[in-house]
Amino acid sequence: MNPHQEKWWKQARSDLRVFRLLRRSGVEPCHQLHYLQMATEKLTKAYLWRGGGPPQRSHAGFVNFLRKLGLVEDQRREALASALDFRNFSQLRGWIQGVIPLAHELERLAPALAQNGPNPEYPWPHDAPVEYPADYEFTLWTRLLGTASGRRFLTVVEVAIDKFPMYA
Amino acid sequence: MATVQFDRDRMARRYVSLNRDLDPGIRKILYLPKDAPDREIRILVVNDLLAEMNDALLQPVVFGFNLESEEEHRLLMLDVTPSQWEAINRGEIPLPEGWTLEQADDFDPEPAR
Repeated sequence: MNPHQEKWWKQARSDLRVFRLLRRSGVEPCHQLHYLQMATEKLTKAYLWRGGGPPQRSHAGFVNFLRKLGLVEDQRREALASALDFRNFSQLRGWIQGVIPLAHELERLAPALAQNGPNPEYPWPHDAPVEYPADYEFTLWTRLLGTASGRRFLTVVEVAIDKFPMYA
Repeated sequence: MATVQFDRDRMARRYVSLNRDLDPGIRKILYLPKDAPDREIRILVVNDLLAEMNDALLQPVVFGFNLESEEEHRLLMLDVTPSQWEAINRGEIPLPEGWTLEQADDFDPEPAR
């Protein structure tokens, strides 16, 4: 892990700590989603710094993190899978294929990408708000908590941050 | 020291294939070799699952591979929405500087390893 990666990883880890606190406290899902989205964004930046140069500001989405994992060099595949608690790389790739749509959905929660619609931070639409996050039922959150694949997604995110130094 | 021959086209084909398998939102992938540096693989991805963006400045995400080895190379992936792709084709949105659709290769899908 290079020093730039370390900074982003430590911030991701801090965001994850807040996410866990929020989950335990049972606050409105918007706040939990907000911290989940921010933690994955910083994890992505930490991983993209692996190339040595700064990632573009607009490419912090978790999809790019998963994509990079799926394209990893042959010689790093099994160690990566093991670090993320998968039996082998084939199982990891299969999991990535299944969760990419969820990751796209998580990315789209960022206010800049939410198209004046549901997001975890601000009431919408901007010009004449009729909804606000704290009272909104996010279907993504329902799927993350209410399905086995959603719960697995959350677990892998936590593992990916906790064990980042093992595969950075 | 001997220099490893880097087969950019073969690696590009592999990345295209692997990406097609990974993301169900991918509608089209183009490999854009013209004018790219030898160790740079440029790929344009049209993705149905991307959020619409108002940003007219397209920038690729950069992935480094085999860092500090003779096989070191970079994969640059430019993700665009279908509407951005249409705008590119109409000449309303420029590709990143130095990129061109000339000699674009739309590989047939092939199974990933």
